[in-house]
Amino acid sequence: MRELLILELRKVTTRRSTRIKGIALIAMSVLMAVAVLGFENYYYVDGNGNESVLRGWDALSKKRELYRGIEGELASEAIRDALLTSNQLTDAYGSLKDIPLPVYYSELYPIEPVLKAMRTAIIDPNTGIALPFNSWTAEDAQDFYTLRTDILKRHLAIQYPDHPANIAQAMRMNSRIGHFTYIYGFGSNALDYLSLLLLLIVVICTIAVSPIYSGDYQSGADDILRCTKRGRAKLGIAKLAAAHILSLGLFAACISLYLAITMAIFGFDSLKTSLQMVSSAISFWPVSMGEAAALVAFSGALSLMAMVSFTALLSSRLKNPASTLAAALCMCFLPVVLYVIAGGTTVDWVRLILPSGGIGFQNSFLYELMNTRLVALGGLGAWSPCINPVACAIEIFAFGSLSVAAYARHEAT
Amino acid sequence: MALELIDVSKRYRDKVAVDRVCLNIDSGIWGLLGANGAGKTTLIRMAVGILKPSSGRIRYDGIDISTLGSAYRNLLGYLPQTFGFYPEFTVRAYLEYMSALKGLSRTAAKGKIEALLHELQLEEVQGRHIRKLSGGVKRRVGMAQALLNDPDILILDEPTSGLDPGERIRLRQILAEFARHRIVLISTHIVSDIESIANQNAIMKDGRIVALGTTSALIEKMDGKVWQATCPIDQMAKYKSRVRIVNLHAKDDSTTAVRYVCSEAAIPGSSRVQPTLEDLYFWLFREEDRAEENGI
Repeated sequence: MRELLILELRKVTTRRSTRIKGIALIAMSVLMAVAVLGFENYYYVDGNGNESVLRGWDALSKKRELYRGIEGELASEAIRDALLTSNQLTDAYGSLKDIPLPVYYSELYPIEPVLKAMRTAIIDPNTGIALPFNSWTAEDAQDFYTLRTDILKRHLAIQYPDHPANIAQAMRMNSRIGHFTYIYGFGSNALDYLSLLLLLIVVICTIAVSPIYSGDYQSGADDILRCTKRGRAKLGIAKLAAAHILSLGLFAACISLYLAITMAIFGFDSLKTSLQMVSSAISFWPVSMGEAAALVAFSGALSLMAMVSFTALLSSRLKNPASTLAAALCMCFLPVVLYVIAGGTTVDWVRLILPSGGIGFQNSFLYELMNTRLVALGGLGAWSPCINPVACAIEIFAFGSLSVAAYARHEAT
Repeated sequence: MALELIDVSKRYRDKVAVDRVCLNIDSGIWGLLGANGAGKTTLIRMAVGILKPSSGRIRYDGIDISTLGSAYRNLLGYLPQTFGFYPEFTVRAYLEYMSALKGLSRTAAKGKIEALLHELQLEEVQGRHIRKLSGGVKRRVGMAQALLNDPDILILDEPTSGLDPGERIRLRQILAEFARHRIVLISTHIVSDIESIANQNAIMKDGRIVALGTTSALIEKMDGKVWQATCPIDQMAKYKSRVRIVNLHAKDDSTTAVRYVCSEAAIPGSSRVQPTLEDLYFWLFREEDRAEENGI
């Protein structure tokens, strides 16, 4: 078996098309990692009173310097001070919109991440809409973390009244969140591009895997292979295992490269930033940005393997690689399409249990993690980020086994 | 050692490709003759186990080949009509890959590959990609893979297609040497490929075996039915519709020598000649069959 696997790996890696796809993906990983820097902007008022902007590396350096004051654990006092500053300026100028730009950039811009956390945490539990800062007292701000937990609990109870067990689970997770940490750097853009890179990897690997069995059916090579002693189930397993190993190898290379470059650009320390400081402050997942990136990558790996198994299943059943590829690509983008054109619990379930359910744009695992929702099924419910990884873990083996069985039983035409 | 095909049929939605074929194939070279579309390839695919019969059984030494599974495949060498290969492989890499699939140890595979490269005159091209080889060389590579495991049953579908005359003779010699104590089944529509080497022949037509026996016994059936005559060229059209012409050879500007099969002499001046397997083939396959075969 080991010998067959080595020969399969050698066969696939000597293919020119495999090498081209691999090199293209690695190049894309580097380009996308560097491209994240392009989203960094720093606005300021220059000496002539005009609004100017720094971009890229300059913006990154400037913002790193600017946010140094709020770096580290976000203490209650810092939140209270931010509220007082905001309220004082609002009182002085009438509203946030009326604050002159020089004042805004010097007074509010350096505490903007704190204000954003406050805006996304202190909401009306019924509507989810942020409450105005002037309705807060200094004591409220001082007690930010308790208040946030209380709002989260009430918000979940209003949203999901029939699922107390799930709410209790969420609150247990939330209890592991202490004070938020903020270090400017690796942010939501880096995670967005990571999700996009995952989609690209899955699509390219799907293209590469689609002829795994059907290519041999079409070329006639299969007729000879399946007349050999090990040419059925054993060869089917070796082909599938080689597809998984190569896909995962390429995945590991691309993701490692992407994360290494982005971390080198944005700073490894910034990975300690709480997810709540970047997405919504009432998210109850007790993870940092680094952990979120690892979870996104892990979920992506599961989606990739599930898609490889699914594509192999299609390839074992269909007679030519073109129809396999068309069907597999439809599956790649089906969750995106379902997310855009349809909604509702049933569609959510379908979308999330698909092998490609964790990849995409607004429907990706990352967004499920940042905007966690409870997806109900009768009296049962599951938090949306948990569904796809579990489904994929099952599908890797289910689709994989079915594909090998179908390949072993395949009949020549 | 016997491969039995018992009442084997293969039906597709609108066609019966193989119709209740019974064959008891023992050691030696067997020729499976028939026009294109006669059902030879379908029958062979069932015999190697890559196509399931709609009805009937295929047994090796009394055991169903589906029950034998990998044990049967371990005894098998197969060269299909269309030789699918991996374009990225060199000849040697392909043979190494096939050796692994056939369960040969690395040492055994190395020795066997060397021997086959030599025997099939592939040494010079062993490092070249298969996609860059000519049709005849590809066919020899296909033969090499079929022989890798020293199969007890060697099944070849149109093995000589693409081979030049020298290669055909060489292949016949290899097969004649190889066939001792083994089953070799060669499917072809080229009679001369098997006439001199086959011990037994089965002739297929419309999915059925229409003639079966040793080459000499089959040829005997044609005694008194094969004729030769010299005929004016301008009268040939008249005879073409009455007899089955095997061969025409222009003697001069006005006459032609004709070899034909017919139950009685149909051209004045005809004399009986020694029949061949090819004559039987022409006898069994009507003119229109041959026209169809040639795409006319």
